[in-house]
Amino acid sequence: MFIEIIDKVDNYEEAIKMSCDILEKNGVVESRYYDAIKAKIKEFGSYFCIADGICMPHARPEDGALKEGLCILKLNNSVDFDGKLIKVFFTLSAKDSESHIGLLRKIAEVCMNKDKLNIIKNSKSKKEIMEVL
Amino acid sequence: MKKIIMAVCGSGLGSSFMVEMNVTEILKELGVTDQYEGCHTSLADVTGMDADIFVTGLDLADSASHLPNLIVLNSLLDKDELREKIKEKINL
Repeated sequence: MFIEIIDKVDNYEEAIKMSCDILEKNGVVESRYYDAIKAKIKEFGSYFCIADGICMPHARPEDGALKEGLCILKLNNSVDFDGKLIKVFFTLSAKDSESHIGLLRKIAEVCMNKDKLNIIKNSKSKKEIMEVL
Repeated sequence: MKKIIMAVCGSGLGSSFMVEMNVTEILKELGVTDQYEGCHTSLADVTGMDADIFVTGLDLADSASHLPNLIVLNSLLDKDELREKIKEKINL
């Protein structure tokens, strides 16, 4: 799991690209994974915005996912994504259709708990985010 | 044979998988796991024959409008909303 906190981005693409670059640098995805995510957004819109302020960009295993992984990018200033204001990007990589279930459970658990969600949205340190997860 | 409640999303492994987890928990709460089961897939793979009830989020409502018996969630991970809408569909 990789965690990054940054002040702001110019647009949501930049946040997703940044997250994919971190995953790529760590051997989790190939560079084409980002292109696949962009194609999904073009086709279906911002459907992976799963809770208030939270989105979970991902593509499919065959889109260049090398292993299971997660990059959490938290912005201090939210960015617009199709009219939704996003503060946290959980960029996910799944190497098959089942093995990432543990990661999904963690993300879902956080997203369905207002207190945990607020801690992550307002966190100033990676450690705070680690503790919630 | 059990009836199927299928969560559908753009890739078939992120948000739909999460919604399936909630569907499964709700079916347990309602005590109807002997009659219904949850599963998930992608919009590219789904056909109207694949399940008895389908579930998707508001963002994909238009793309999924060809599916029969469709539950559209305003808030994808809101279990209360999902529970009420499932109960309505299965006449509980």
